[in-house]
Amino acid sequence: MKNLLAHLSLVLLLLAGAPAAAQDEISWDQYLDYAYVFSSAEQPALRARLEQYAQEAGAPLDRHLAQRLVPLAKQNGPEPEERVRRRAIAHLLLYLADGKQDELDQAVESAGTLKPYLGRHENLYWYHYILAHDSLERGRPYDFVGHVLDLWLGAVVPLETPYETLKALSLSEAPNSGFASSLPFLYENVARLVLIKSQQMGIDRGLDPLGAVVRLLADRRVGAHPDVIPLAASSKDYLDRIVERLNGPESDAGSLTFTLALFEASKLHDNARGLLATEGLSDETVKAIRVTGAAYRTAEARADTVSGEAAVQTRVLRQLGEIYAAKQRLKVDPEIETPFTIEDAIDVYTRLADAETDQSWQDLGFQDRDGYVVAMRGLWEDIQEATLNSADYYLSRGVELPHLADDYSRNAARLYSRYLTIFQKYALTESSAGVPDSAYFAAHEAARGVGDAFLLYASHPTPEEVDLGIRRYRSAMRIFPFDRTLWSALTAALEKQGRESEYMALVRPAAEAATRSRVVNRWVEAGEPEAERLAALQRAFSDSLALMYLGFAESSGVAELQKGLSSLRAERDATAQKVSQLRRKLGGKAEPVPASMDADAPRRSGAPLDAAEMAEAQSELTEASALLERLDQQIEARARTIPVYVATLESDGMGAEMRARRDHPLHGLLRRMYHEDRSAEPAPE
Amino acid sequence: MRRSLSLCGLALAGALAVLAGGCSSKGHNPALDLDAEVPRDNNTPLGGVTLTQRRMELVRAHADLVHFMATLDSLQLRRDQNGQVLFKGFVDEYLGTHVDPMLATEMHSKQPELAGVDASIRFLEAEMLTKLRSPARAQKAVDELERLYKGREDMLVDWPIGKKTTLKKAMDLLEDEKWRG
Repeated sequence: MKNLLAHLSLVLLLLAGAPAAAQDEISWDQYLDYAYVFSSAEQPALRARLEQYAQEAGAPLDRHLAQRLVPLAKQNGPEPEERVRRRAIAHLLLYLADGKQDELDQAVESAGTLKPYLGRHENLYWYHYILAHDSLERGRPYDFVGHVLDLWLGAVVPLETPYETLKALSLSEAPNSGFASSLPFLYENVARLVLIKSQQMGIDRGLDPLGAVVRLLADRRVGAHPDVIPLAASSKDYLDRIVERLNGPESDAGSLTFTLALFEASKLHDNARGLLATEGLSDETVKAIRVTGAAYRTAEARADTVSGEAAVQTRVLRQLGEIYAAKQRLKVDPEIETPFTIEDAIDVYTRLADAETDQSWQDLGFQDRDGYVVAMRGLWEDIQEATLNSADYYLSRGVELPHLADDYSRNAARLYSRYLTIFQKYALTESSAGVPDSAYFAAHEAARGVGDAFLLYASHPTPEEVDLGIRRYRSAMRIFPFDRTLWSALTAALEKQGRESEYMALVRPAAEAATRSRVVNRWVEAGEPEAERLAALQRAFSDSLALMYLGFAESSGVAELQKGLSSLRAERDATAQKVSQLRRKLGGKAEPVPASMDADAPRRSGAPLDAAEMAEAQSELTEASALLERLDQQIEARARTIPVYVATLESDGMGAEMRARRDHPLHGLLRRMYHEDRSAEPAPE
Repeated sequence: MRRSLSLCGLALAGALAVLAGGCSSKGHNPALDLDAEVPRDNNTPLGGVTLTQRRMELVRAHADLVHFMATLDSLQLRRDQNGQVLFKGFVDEYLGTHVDPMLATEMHSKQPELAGVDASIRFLEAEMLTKLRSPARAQKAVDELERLYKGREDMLVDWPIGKKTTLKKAMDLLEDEKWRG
């Protein structure tokens, strides 16, 4: 806004240059005649501007008004329209600068005196501009809309062609171009009046007919005259964002009232988000969150269509997710009341999804199918994020408060299960339009979350919960087998239940599905993103020893495995040496058995073994040879498998990357894998 | 909705027309002959800058009507009665004071540069009048379309909004819409 005023003052000086030079002094009348340039500045800036002009003109505006612009006595004949207009403008400026209601009342009174002169565009503009402000002050949206529409028809439309003609002839800034040259400022003022002032004055209903004016303003009007109002100083960006929302998937069938209400709520949300980042969950942040919730509630109340409700729910869930994430991160748990729940959002999603079945989505307020699909997917993604964040929060609370671990774990499991329920309900086919790609990884996370809740976090899970947790781990593996940590989590859970022997039977289906998957194979062959990491995991899945490592080697680590292999090799060398010695020993001729079996008698060096020694050496050789063979097999297996397992370590972090990026390319692969798997056999529980 | 005759604007527009070398009035000054009928074709653009200017005006009016239609549809979809009352008055006046005078010429239909956009505006106006429950005015717009563009049924128009159709097909669609509306 400061920039705007700086630019506007420059323009004002240019425009006012000729008469000022001619008269060699600056009077308030000139400033008032060009008040359309600066009248929509924000209050502090406008006040500063008026003070500066007061210095230049040698008197404050109110004194000028009292001395030079008071109504003339009737006996003096009709008052010149310029004088009346300037008086009306002066009162309006004083109202805008200081917020004094009586100044507005006097502006309205003076504007009323202008009625006989409304044939002049300039008078008509100020008349409706002043009365529009009065309507805002009185909280009368119907009157406000009427005045803005009249202003547009009576002052803007008739000036558009003349302005273009003047501009084509490079005369738009000529001193005699009259009020036509004000057109870019009129656009700007109307835009600010409708988009900013109305919201500052709390008008949150009945603005929808002005949607047309807002669209007109955005259509090559505001921002289209950078030579007069530089882009940076105009409200073009703001206007464009509003129009984008008005026409986009976040619209309530084109309602300006709703769009502005949601936009205001979004601004409050941004403020709360900023406070959350800088101050954590301070009192001020909690207050800002509460204010945001109320603003979203207002927006929701203004929504007439499911489209509008979905837009509100999507943003509300984002805040809900942020709150839970902050609570978990900051380890504080202040009481924060939010007027929305995830259930509300699921209810809205259900209504959206039902419209897909009977193709009645147009009745929900969407302008096109793309917008409908975008809205559905957006809402889904925020349902999934809010669910995962809130469930994570419960699990972390369970760790902080172990005596409540069972309760918190069950709360988390319920949230995860609810997500899995809607996932199974709506992710029926690969082409389910309203289900985003990232929903599949979220399903993996939710399934794993149920397992974690019962097997890792709960203190005393029931046998049924343990069983459900293991089944959910298996589901998580089927949906996304490439999270290495899940395999070891399963073994840990099984070990806790004394069921580790079931490991291979439980994981083999997921491993085989991932190995056989045509979509994964094609992905790897085509060298798509993460192909190398996926190929390494596929190699491990096809090797039962590597599967064992995936499940059980997590705790020992690679260094320990390598050390074990080295020990094995050393043992093998020793055994091989022993075998060799025994063979050499057995290579000599056997002596007759001595008369006495004196074990202590010294062995004759180089002497052949007697029969008993031969038998004993033979037995040792047999044992050593068998051991050698076993060691060779073990070494061969370990030497082959450890690198396969080690290669899988490269996949670490893939899950975190997918969690962080909803547009990660692997989300699409997961979707195809899931439906390929479903088509091959019944879906995992 | 308060109407106000924009005398000053007309005067300014007149002055600008002179500046731009625009409309020339041949023969006697009709303002002096109180009994003379107002010529049907009193806003004929001739060519050059004026033609370009007129095309810009028509294009802008067309774009404005598209935006109005979006708002009208939105108000009707949400059954916003107050909004519809206000907006209908606004559109009605816009058509009456801005669009109709601009279309009160046959010259647009005879100028290849203007005919398409002129016809498109007329279709939009007819559609809008139907939605505004002004069937007589809508029919008048349709009649004008038929009269002005007779024999040019293959000409492409930008109607319905966002599509290009032949004039004949557009006429059929409009007829359907009229009965549905």
